[in-house]
Amino acid sequence: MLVKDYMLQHPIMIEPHKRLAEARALLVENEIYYLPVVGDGKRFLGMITPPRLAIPPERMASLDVWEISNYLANLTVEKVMLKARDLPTIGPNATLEQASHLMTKTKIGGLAVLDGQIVLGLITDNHLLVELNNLLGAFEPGWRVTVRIKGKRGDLLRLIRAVTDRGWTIMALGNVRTPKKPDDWDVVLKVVGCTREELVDAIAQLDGQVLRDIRETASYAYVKP
Amino acid sequence: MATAEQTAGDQLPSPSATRTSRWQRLEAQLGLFRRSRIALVGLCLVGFWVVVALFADNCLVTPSCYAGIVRGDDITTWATSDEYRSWLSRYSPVEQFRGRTREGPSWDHWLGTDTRGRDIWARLAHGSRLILTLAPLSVMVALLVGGTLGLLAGYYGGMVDEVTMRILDAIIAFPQILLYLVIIASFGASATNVLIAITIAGAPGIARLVRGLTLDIKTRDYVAAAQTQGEHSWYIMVFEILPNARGPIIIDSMLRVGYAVFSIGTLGFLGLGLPPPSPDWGSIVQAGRSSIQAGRPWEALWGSLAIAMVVVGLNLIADGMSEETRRYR
Amino acid sequence: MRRSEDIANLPVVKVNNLGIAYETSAGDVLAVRDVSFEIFRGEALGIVGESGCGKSTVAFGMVNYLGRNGKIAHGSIAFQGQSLVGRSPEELRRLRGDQIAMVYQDPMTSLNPVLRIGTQMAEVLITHRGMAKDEARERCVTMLRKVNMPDPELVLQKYPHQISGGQQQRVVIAMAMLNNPALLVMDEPTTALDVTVEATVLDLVDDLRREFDTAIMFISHNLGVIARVCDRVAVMYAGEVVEIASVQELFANPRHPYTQGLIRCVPRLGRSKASSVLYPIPGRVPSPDNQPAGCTFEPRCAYAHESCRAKRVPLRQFQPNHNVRCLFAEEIDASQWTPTEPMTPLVQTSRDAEPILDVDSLKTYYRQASSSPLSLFGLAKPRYLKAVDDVSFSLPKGITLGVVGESGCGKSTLIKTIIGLEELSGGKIEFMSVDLGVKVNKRDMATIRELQMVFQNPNATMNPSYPIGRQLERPLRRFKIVPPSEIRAEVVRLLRAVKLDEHYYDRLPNQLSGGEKQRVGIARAFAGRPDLVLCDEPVSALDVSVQAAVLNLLAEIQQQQGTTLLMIAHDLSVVRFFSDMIAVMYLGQIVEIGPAEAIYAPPYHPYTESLLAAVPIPDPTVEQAHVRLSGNVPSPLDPPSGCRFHTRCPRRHLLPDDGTLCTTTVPPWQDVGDGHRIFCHIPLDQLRAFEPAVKMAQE
Ligand SMILES: Nc1ncnc2c1ncn2[C@@H]1O[C@H](COP(=O)(O)OP(=O)(O)OP(=O)(O)O)[C@@H](O)[C@H]1O
Ligand code: SF4
Ligand code: SF4
Ligand SMILES: [Mg+2]
Repeated sequence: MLVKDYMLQHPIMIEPHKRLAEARALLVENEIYYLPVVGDGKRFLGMITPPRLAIPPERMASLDVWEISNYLANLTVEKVMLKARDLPTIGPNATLEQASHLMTKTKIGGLAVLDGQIVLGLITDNHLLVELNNLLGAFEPGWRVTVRIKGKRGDLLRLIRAVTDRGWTIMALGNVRTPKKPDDWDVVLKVVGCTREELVDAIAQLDGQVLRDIRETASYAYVKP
Repeated sequence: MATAEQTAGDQLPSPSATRTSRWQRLEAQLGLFRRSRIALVGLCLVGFWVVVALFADNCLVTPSCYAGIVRGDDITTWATSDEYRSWLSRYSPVEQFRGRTREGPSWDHWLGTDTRGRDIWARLAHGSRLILTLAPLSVMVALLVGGTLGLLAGYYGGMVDEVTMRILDAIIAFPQILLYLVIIASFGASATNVLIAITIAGAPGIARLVRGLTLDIKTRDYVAAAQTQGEHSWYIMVFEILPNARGPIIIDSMLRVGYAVFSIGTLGFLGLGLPPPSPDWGSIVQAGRSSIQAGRPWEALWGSLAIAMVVVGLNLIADGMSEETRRYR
Repeated sequence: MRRSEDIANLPVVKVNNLGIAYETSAGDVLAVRDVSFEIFRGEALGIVGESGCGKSTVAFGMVNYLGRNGKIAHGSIAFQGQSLVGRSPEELRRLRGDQIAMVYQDPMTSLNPVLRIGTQMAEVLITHRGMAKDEARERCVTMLRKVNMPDPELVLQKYPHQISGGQQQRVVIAMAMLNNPALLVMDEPTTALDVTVEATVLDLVDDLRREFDTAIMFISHNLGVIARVCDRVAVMYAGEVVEIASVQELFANPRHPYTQGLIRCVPRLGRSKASSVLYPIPGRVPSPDNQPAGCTFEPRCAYAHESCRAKRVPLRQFQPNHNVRCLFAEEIDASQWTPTEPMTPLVQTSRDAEPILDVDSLKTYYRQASSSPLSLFGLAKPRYLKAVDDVSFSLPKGITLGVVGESGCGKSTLIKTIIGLEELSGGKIEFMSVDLGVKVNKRDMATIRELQMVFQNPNATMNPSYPIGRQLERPLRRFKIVPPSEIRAEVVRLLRAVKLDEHYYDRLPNQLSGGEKQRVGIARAFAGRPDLVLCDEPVSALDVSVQAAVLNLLAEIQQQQGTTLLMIAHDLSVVRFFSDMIAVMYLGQIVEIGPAEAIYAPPYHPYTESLLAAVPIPDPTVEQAHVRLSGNVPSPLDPPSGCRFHTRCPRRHLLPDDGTLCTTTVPPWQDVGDGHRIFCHIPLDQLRAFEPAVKMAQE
């Protein structure tokens, strides 16, 4: 899972000499939170985010009503954007994990994906969350089970075998160290091709593995052929 | 029932293009001067001299007298005969007013008089008749010669093309003035020889143009269609190819007539034009040259102006035409 | 199932109520009205319609390239959320460089003929992005690889004229993609290409849009091409979008009478004139300055009703994602349609008649000017371009032989040699036992009269200087068909025969539309009541609805007069529809010949198979084998040894040793029976076992 495959290509962008009002309109009308600012040849110059649209309070205090409208009218994107040198960016061949790490570290949820200085795309926290959904098969109909297993060699394999050997299909799989119990792992599977009882039964037969949760997603009710 | 409506299902050319009668077609062509301002200016400039040439004397219907100018008839008849006067030009071009030489414009002599006391306007007016006949005529002859050669070379290609074009290239390589000098010097100055000189100098250029057009047009399907109907080569050249080459040829000829006017003027200026006392514009400028230093530039000025008007006018018309063809492409 | 709707997918372009006007001497003329659509990332929107419907105007309007007299009259174009209307020229130039790219029909409009391809391509990156020369070059190579260009390094060294048309178009597309545009506008990008090349370019477009998520606006008059690459289609008529829907929906359930008409008038691959009829759309596209007051399609519409005339019809939703500009969209069902005048399929002509034309090992070579200095002294060995090399066939009286093949394979030369416009270099042509070994100017009048030709380009087929009547009179006079006193009446009769009325007698060719000119061309060819008419792509320059009318006309006249036809066409559906027999040509030779229906099913020659796999079919449900030819047609100056197709043959590997036999030995003619012959080494049984290249969903 590399950034180049999951980023948004051709994001909406704006040029530095544009009025701030235009940037505001773009953000509001399109419901977006990150607006890369690019110069000639899509060179990355900076980013506009909703907070940048607000007038800094200290300026606000010193201006009267007429001045404020005047001030706003003359404000260009260039003057208020976050400068490129202050922003984290990422390359197209980085992994999604690297992207998410960068986001959490810098607390900036939108990264411009650059090739040299050229903007190739944009990846935001929202994209990562969508992929988390896809990763766990949120939109696949099936049984979503959470099984806690020991971190021993072969344990995951046994679980998988238990499902696939019976001719059922695993649509998605997620695997994470159990919070606060670093020796255990929580495995999330999306299984299709069986009834709830069969699945519960199959997992119960595996010793040392605990079925923590089972639920049906996307109105999946298996009918025996 | 087969009506036009039921048939082809594609776009009709805009209604303005749907003309039928000959008269409407002519009007469409004259419409050029309505649509193109520069062409209109050109038409005014040239038209002025055409009118002057037509009414320079009273014998519009008897061409004999103006043949007299070309031939160089006896001056005394010229000077006295009423034939050479008209409402437009009150004097004969050779009538001398003693004591009134090198005058500026006045009521009696609209443009002044020359070194010999002749009325400059009368000379220019009669000269226009001369030049406006000689220039188009020589271009026409050049067109006939060059056009035929170009058509043959372009249509047949191969050796015919190779040989004609090489010879014509050789002529083009000569500087034109030099060519004129050589021809006039060896055959003497006369209207016929001027015509021959212009033909020889102009034909190769025309041939090249026509050859290029022929090469293009002969690949069109309608030419192939004529061939498959067993038409003779001459029929194809004259009736299938030539009419479709006319646009560029007409434009080119306009320019060439202008150039011929200029050339005839130049020859006159060099003393190689029509023999005196014919009112050749080039000779008028030449004769007036000496008076310029004497502070009387009239003669030279009017002569040059007349030449310039015709040349510029023809160029403007040609420009207007080519703009028009470009617009409708 | 993968979903990403949660991320707001915004359209790259959103056109709303767009109107584009051209200033003319008679005032402003609205060429495009009330056009609205949007294109999302990675989506291809097809725009289809006959010529003069305003397709290209919309395309140029997108980038405000409307020329001096064009302007946006109303409406808006939002590109990436920002309005394109009213931007400064400088801004637009930057946008065109960075985010919007265009590909035109003729690749040479985008290429500079005097610069090497490498230089032009790298320039985009160097000037636009300040990239270093080496890096730019490397990028170009990568991009050329992406567009499947063989030998990218070598291509960079070449000048545009040194590569083929298909390769030029690929270079243009590669250049367009170098800046990774958000929107790619393609105006008839494959119209000038051969079907085989077209297929590869279309594959490429499809790949690129998936890889780069580019929004594509794809303009074409060819429904088949649209069906292959687009997700959604907008049908334009007289400057308006009359129907817009997804491809599947549009072809399965067309609701506007015009869309239905368009679909009906293209021959389906596999149909023939004996089994089906083409229904042309009557009438013609109204010119922009002369639109009907009500529904623009009303004058041509079979369903027109009083209420259609009253006022303009708005585009409205028929179903979600399916909008139609017709008042009666709900009632109008394509499957319930019946023609206004019943037309019956023609009777099949027998293929067993006497042969009228016998061509035996015909060769036509063009002598090439050599570039060696020796040629100046006539010493260099002359080189020959073998345009037609060893072609033999015989043509029974009264049938139609269709000739297909890629451009440059010698189809036109074959016809020109038969009619005597080119000199033959060897072999024999016998026409009703008269030898046709000489050029037309040496043939006798009787022979000339029996052999006539219909040409491709409607604008060049008639002499623009003379009225139609005069041009039709000429052959009548020359061939002495009727006494001079009856010539005028005969011309009128001819005009009537091609469904034109007497008014056309005094018209000049430029006062006729393309279809009408082509009809007059047909009238001229048939004036002398010839026995054999040769047609060089008679309908390829015409719009589909006109094409149908002209094809019907040709068939009708042929049947009346019992004429034999030899017809070239590059559209395999048209050829199949129209011909009784088909010859497939490759590089100057016939590789397969036989009855029309036999050619379209196995066994066939590997080349025929590739052609069939490539032909764009106006039906998104049809499955086609993915057989693509690599490379170009080799030069006929020095054709490959053995089987000429061996350099590109996708089936050669079926033979032992990867088909070394094909490279050394000329293949045998294998007889399938019923006059069907195949020129290939692969045994017939194996050829028979090929999967059909085209699988229709139903039937
Ligand atoms: N007059 C000519 N002189 C030299 N070569 C020619 C000439 N005409 C055609 N050729 C060459 O002969 C070959 C066959 O050309 P031809 O026009 O017959 O092909 P075609 O099958 O009709 O192609 P298209 O589908 O493009 O019309 C081509 O390589 C072409 O370049
Ligand atoms: S609105 Fe009427 S005229 Fe127009 S397409 Fe529909 S039925 Fe035909
Ligand atoms: S002979 Fe060989 S190369 Fe030629 S078509 Fe047949 S298999 Fe292909
Ligand atoms: Mg051809």
